[in-house]
Amino acid sequence: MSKEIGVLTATTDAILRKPERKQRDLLLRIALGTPLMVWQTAFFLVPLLLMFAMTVWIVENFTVVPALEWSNWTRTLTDPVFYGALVRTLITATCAAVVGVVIGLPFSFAVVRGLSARAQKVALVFLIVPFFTSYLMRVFSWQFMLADNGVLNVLVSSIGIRGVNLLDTPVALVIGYLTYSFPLICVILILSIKTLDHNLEDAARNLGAGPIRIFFRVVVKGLKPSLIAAVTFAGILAFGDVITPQVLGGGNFIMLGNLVVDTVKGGIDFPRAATIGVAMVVTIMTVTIVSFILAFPPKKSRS
Amino acid sequence: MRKLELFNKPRTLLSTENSISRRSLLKGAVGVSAFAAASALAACAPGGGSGGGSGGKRGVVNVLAWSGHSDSALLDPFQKETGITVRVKEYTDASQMVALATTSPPGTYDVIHVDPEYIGQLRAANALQPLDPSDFPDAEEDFLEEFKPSSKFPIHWYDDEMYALAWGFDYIALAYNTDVYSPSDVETYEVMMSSEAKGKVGMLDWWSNPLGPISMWAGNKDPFNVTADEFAALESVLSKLRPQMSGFYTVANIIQNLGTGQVNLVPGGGRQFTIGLIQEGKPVSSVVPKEGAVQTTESLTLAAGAQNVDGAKEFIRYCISPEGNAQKSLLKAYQNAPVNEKTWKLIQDTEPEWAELLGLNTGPDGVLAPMREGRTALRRLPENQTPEEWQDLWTRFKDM
Repeated sequence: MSKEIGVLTATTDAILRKPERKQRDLLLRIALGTPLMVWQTAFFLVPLLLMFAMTVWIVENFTVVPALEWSNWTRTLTDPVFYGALVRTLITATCAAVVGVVIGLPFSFAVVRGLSARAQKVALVFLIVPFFTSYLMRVFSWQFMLADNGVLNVLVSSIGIRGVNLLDTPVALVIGYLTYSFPLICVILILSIKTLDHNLEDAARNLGAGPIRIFFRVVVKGLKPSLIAAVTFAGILAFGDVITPQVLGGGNFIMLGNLVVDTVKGGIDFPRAATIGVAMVVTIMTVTIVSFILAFPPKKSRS
Repeated sequence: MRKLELFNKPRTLLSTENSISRRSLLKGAVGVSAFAAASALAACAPGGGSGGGSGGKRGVVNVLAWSGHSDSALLDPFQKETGITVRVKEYTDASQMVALATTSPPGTYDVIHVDPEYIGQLRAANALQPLDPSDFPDAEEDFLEEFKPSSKFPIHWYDDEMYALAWGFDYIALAYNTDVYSPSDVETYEVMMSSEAKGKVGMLDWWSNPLGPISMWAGNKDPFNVTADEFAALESVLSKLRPQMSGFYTVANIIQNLGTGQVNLVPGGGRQFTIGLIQEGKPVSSVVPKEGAVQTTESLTLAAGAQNVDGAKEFIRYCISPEGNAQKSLLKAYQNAPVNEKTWKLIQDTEPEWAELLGLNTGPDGVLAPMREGRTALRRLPENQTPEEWQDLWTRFKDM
């Protein structure tokens, strides 16, 4: 290890001394960075720009034709179904994210504070295992659980409770979204709770703070960036999801993603679907920027 | 969307191995001999396309087909018999088919398997070339009356030229739970408005499927040819129906929900949704109510830029032969009624259970009855509105 550091220091010295080494270092950095940049440009930036461009294209005879028409925008932006879906998607995604974090926070605390280091690792593995199975499969299995004659109802009826119809309700939607995001929320929270300094809570207690105050002033404050990251991640995952509304919502709750699918199915109307897609991207970007600012507020200059 | 998730339906009554052994038994008998004769005839005919070479390998036929049709049970007999390799590109959505057929470079496909209501679109985009009925003598000889070239099946013929040959047909009607409803209950689509149907009506989440029968229920004999007023009236019918709805599902979902009793009535449902469930012993059936039903057809067309015209025609001849049509009808992915009468005979003789499931009889419960009694309308694209307007109506319905 110390040998490596020695080499590193020597390299740094050499770079500082010799400009051609500096140049080589720059080349190395370019070489390391280029694949990602190429990847992101080819598979994120170009499709994104294409999607933006496509919003002014038109469909003729089931074929998308480049044009400069604003009709897709006027149709989307005057469509009450679109606004309904936008509001519904935002609210449901936020609900799912908040519920996920509210359940995930005590769970993560229990894992970090209540389990041995070894058991914590096992818990983390168990949180990652669900990702081995396709999300689609997991959502479909919830359908079996929640159906009117499903597993859940058979269980509750055996203890004398009359059937609860959860499938095709907003509750089922939240369950479906959490199927995807809950493990992720917990992993984020567990890793950040581990870095939280236990002594701060003790100190606060010694100084006479009650548990509620400690929770909000010390724990929540210390975890703020992670909490915001968890809510944002979970919210974005739910925001773009089309599977849960289709499978667990019974298609009764039209979300923006489903509206995109519907628009394409109507006759390959990719341009109009692209306007909805752009609206989704803009919404997600706004949410991400706002949560970034909330998580890492610009430092106030001390005068 | 329509059919793709049906793959794993157990084909309990006819396994592939079974059908192959039967096939060899049948060799030289009714079906295959007719096909072989047709092949020989084609081989003698002066050839134009590039694929019609001599020797064992006779080129490639590229086929664009509904998902489930790259099944070896369907393709292998042809490939073995002719030495022609069949490459199938599958699609899962009719609009995807139109996009692929109209935007791929000419020559990408030789044969295109279509829902014939799209032939007009494909023809307008110069994606198809007409078929010469005399190239397919067996179609005239063996097909059910309605599908014979001389009957000029309406959505196959344009400007007195034939663009397609039928390959299979089915109905979009009303599927129901037989524990909940008796046959007399489901004589009319009105049953969807009954109090016990509340929250128990499910539909496939694709406007073209349920809106056909619902439009017929609303009094439109030709369900997709409606005036602006009738279109508006359809929306008010839908708003009355909305509280009865359980949900809008994928194919796999609607079959599952019909099987579990989550939904009891499926307008837009037919044999395509119930056959697998009936085999599992589930209490379901389908019916054409008195208001009528939409007849769906699957057809084979010749691509405009086909590179291997001879091979393509030979493949089509195989597909509509008694044997090829039987393999298509009993495909693992999904099943429907064959158009070749000799196929009917073949299935009745060798797979009586399947003949029963597919309704291959000329009685009142048979698959021909609704069509012959004039209770069905062909599925077409909307005449006076764009498909997008129908899609928007569908989205509004779901959003009600």
